Amino acid sequence: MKKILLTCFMLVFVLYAWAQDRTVSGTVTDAETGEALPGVNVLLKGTGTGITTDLDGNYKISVPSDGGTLVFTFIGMEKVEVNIGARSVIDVQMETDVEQLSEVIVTGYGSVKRADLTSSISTVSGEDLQSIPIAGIDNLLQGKSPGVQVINQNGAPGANAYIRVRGVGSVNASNEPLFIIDGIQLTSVQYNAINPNDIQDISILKDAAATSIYGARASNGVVLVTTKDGSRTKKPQVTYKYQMGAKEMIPNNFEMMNKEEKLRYEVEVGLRDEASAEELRNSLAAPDTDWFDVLLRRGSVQSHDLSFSGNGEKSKYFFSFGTYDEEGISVGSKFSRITGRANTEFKLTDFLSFGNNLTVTNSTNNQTRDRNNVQNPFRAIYDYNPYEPEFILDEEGNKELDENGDPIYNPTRQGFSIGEALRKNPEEEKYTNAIGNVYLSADPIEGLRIKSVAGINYRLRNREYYIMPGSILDGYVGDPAAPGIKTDNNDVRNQFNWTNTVNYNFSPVEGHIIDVLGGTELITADIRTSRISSKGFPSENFTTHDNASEVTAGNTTRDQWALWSQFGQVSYNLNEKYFATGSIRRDGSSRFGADQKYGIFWATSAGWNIHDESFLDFDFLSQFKIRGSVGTSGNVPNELYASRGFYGFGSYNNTVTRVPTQLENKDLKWEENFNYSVGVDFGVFNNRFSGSVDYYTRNTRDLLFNRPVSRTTGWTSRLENIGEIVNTGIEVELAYDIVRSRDFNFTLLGSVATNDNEVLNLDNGGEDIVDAFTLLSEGSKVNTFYLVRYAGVNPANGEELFYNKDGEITNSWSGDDAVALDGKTPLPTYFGNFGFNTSYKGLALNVNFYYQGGNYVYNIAYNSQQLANGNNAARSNQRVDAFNYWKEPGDVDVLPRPGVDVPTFTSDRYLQRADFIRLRNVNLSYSLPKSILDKIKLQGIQVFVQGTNLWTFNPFFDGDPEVGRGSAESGLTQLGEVTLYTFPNTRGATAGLNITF
Amino acid sequence: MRKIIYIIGLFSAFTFTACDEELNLEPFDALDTSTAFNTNSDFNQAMRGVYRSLLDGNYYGGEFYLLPDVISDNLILSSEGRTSYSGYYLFQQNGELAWLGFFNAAYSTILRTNYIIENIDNLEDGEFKNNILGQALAIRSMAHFDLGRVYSTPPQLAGGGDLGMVYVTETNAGAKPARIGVAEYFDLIEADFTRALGLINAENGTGFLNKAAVHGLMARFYLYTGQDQDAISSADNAISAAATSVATFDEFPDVWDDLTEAGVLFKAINTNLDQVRIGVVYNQAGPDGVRDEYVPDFGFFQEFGADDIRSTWFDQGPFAGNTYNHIIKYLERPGSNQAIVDAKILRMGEVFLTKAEAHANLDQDGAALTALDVVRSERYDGFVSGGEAGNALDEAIALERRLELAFEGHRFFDLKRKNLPIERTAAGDEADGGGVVPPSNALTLPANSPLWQMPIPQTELNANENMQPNPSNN
Repeated sequence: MKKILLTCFMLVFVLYAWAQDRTVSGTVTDAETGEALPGVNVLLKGTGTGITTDLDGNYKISVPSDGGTLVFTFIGMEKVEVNIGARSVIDVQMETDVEQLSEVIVTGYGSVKRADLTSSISTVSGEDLQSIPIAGIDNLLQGKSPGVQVINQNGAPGANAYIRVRGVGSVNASNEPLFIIDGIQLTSVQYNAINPNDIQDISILKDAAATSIYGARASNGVVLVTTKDGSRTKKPQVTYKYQMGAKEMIPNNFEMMNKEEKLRYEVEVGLRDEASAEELRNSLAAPDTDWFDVLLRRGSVQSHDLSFSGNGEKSKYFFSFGTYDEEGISVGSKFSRITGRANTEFKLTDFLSFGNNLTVTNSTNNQTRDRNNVQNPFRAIYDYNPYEPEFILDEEGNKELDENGDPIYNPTRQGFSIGEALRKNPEEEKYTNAIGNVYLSADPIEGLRIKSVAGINYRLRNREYYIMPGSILDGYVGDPAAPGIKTDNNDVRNQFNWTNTVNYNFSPVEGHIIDVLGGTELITADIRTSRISSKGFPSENFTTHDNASEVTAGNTTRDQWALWSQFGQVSYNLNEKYFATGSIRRDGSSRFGADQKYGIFWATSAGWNIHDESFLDFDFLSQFKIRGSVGTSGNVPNELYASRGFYGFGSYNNTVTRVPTQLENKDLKWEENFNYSVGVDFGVFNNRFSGSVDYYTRNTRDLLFNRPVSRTTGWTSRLENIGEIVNTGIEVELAYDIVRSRDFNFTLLGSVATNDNEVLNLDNGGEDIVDAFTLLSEGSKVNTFYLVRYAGVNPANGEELFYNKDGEITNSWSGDDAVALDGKTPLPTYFGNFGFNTSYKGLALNVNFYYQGGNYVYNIAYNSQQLANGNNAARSNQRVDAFNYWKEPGDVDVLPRPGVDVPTFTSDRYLQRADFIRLRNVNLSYSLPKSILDKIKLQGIQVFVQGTNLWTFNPFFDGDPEVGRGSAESGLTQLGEVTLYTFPNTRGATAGLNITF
Repeated sequence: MRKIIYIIGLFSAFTFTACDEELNLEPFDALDTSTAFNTNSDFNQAMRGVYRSLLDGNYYGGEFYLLPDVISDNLILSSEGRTSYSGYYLFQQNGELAWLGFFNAAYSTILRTNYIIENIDNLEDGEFKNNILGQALAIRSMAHFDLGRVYSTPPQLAGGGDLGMVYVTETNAGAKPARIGVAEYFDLIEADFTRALGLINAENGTGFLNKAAVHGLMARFYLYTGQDQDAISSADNAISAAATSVATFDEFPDVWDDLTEAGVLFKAINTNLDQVRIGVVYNQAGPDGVRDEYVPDFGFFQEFGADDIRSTWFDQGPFAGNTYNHIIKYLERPGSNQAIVDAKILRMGEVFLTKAEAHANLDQDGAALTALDVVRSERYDGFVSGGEAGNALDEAIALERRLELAFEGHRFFDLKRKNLPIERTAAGDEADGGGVVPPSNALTLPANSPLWQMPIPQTELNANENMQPNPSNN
């Protein structure tokens, strides 16, 4: 092997050998700490000659006799250039790079220095994601990047977030960005399987120039997660992190009725006569019950993380073990995770190395049901009446006992005790994920890297749902002769990818640098599910199906998809001043129609570091760059075989049937985004005040949409490419170092992003497409609310009034009178964050607020349902302000007169603005000074306390204004459209400790 | 150096390996529509797929069984229920409360029949082909008839401008059809039934239509459309072709537990695998008793005498401290989870009562009484015929029909075709008539109300600009 190495190096360096006739040596140290810096790149400017510093920060390099310039670079440090002159020893101190212009940013299939960047990429340092008590990496991105809206789907432990990069580009296909970890595509259900402590950094690719190289999957942006590899560890280190804390539901800004209030209300509305109210009032069997207290609890969170990392001459490594346990705020809600990671790289020879990134994780998720009835505890807390106790009580108020001596749960008026169900109908999901790759890379000549990566993403899901024998639900849905129902799901998802890239970075003429990338990628996925249900269990302790008296159902399914692509990119850089990049990708997808099998996506971008120009040579200007990009990207349909017309199978009388299941569309293809974006990065006064401003236009054509068809055809819709949406917006990010000194620093941070969108056309004849509460209509914003307008209360008789289509007031509601409410949509028109980071010696305080607004939410749960018009909804508990209804002629500013026969109508009466400012995160930490650390022989100790969602400014909305989804089981999962009792968001506090050995 | 070249060569070989064939993936649970209809077995499977569609929870698998009784004087809402379908019960139908699920289900059934009919010539001529085509035509006709009963005026009551529904005979998913006139619509239904009759086998086994069942459906059709003489002939044909007669007094309870096929001319079979909880629309039995959605109208309940075998459809029991008359007709059968029973779509009891009513309408009282007593003699313990005639006979037939076909999705249509109002009893939901009384505006629905024709679902009006709404209630 040595021979090869020698041959190689001889070839590469022979050209320079003649000139190298003396050596320069020295030590590189950190200017701040004085510590030696290993791994610093030392380069003789204008040549390919280079070397890295050893563990003690020493280097020795051959230089021409007439000297030249040495360039020292290290991640996170400012570049240093030193004229050699006649010196033979050059010691260098490197300063921390505040603006991180030399920071290397991970891009698609490569990386680039921030100063050279021409596209819109936001980066999030792994450090910013750690010590926040949230399981999913998607949720951790909230408020971290302008233009990237992140909203929790709901507050359940381990829940996913909605992520919208530069607005919404799709109606039926996904609006979620492509997530890639170490080159492997993740599915959203895996976001909570990744240990945030393992993350080095995250790049969020926003514009086409950045995303286009991911082609047909990239139109919603790309999130690239890079895990730690040990290369940044100056010396081998062991880190232990611990935190624990508590969570609780964010309190409502309204009160629910107590027993006396509810009884009075029922009598007033006519749901109950006074005699029966009086009977309940005096009954010891009906004590005043606060169902929030009964069904909710204080949640808890606890995590441990232990990691080992280092960087040797021939290898680098990062190993970690982590646990995360969160108990949700309801019984039956829990998320726990164990993770392990091994990232290693070995140099086989000087030009050949191989390595791997591998994580294996195991997580357990106990979920409460996300449905719109009292089988969901978060509906039950609002619905159960305060005069109904948790357990059935006798006339003396003592609990009645069953034959086992256990108290009997009260099914209540709803006929179902969720308290019992949470214990007797447990649902648990266990996930095993193995996500990793092995790679081989060769650098046969300077600047050329050939890399082949084989990755696998394996996920095993095991779900168990047990309706225990004797439980109330079993009584409803079970077989009395064979009590108990158990369902197990076992799903295996195997995704394989094979990525080959060739990258050549060379400088044909001094000052001109060209970087060429070419590659291919094959991704295949195979998804198998299986399910088995049985009934007839001997007792609740037996849960496996071999104990059941009868297997009642079982099936398996299998699906596949594949993507085969070629891509290339050329970047050109002139004197670090002018930059241009062009990229292209050709994607073939198994999901596209026979006539549209391949898509080609392209992008180009340019940048200009103006502050390097002589005409802008002002001292105060430390950075000024303009960039622009234009290009395309795509979005594949969620459905795997959507272009085909199918007959599927079923059974009738236990014999096989075949039935039409899907309409054919041979022309079905990706949604295509055409984007352009311009931006400015600036910094003044030694970058004390810095920021960037971006403007984007994102045009989505060939929108994938289930076009409704006449139901008389026997179909409801067909997936087609039918429309065009445009999103535009401005993103501003600013930072101001008010105080910058060795001991005391204070930085103000803030960002704002705007988004405006419009449906440009719907190719189905421009016809409006109405969904549950919203519509798509040419010229309107995407998902504009489409509702009957509420016209207040008739002061004469208390009737609820509406506007008909023509704007006339009527007392009779008709769905036909729904109109598009211009400008009112579930998507915020502005959002961002602000806060500050301050530190004094070892003490640091970081405060971050998140805000958004301009959006509307159809507030079923906290407004229409709990301020009902009487009817049956009022049999459930109501808000105290439900008493504010019309009582006599002349009453104004009141709710309509409720009554037993007055239904609740869908109208914009329940549509509320949901602007808010939320104190997302406060973190106070103290790091022990170096003097003490040296005595106790540790590299670092930090203690911290932090709080999440501690305060909210909510001027308009009833309930929590941070609305993710409405209800998963009701299919209302459009971001921020509707409230329908999904798991509420929580606030909490944790304390923790980080030790580095 | 050579090794380096090898390495580069090897990488290049990988890189330029084409993987295009990886993109041709077939699903594991479906086949292309163009290949779905070739063999006899293909058609058998597709035909069973049509029958399976009848079990849709919005069709004979539940809702279509329930709503014609909910929107009638047979049922009232239980105050302890989940208030399912209460909008229909309270006569609040509108474009968004317009039986959309049924609308979809019926046209989906029609689509499945049309696929078979369009491809039928892939079969060789002969008995097999005829029998498949006959079944497909008969069910296509039945589904259109059901749609017509819900959304259109009965032809004998219709004015010149009244509309039938869309009669679909092709599988064009891009179609945006308009409705046709009532008379034309019902004529097409009759024509399909008639054509089916000439093709279908005399026997196809339980769960499938046969010649007798088609005669029976036609008797239903003719009675509904006021064609009494045809109703009589169809009923007679059904009676002579059927392998069963009215279930006997002793057999009758077993019919509801699916232990016998006596008296059942056509049913959709609901297996434990299907898990279609037909009866869940009435109530759910839980550890605390049976929780009703709907209970019988108290006045109607009292018509079921103790000597009437049909009184076994009820069970008085407590729930939440009160006693209710639970309808347990569909509550259970041995070996299945609760509420999973076969959907009895056509029974001989109906055929005889149709015959009786048609005879009576034509003043053929003797024949009418005979047909009526075929049913009555098997329903009452120690039955002695009342020997009614004239108005008394008409009333006896109407009462017997209401009793015999209670909770099987007939009452609304029987009132509708006879142009009679809904008049609920002003009594409560509890077993003794106490409890919550229907609100006053839900006690009656006049015969001339536009709500007798269900509004066209708004969803359909949105997607199909040619679809005409029903006047004054859409």
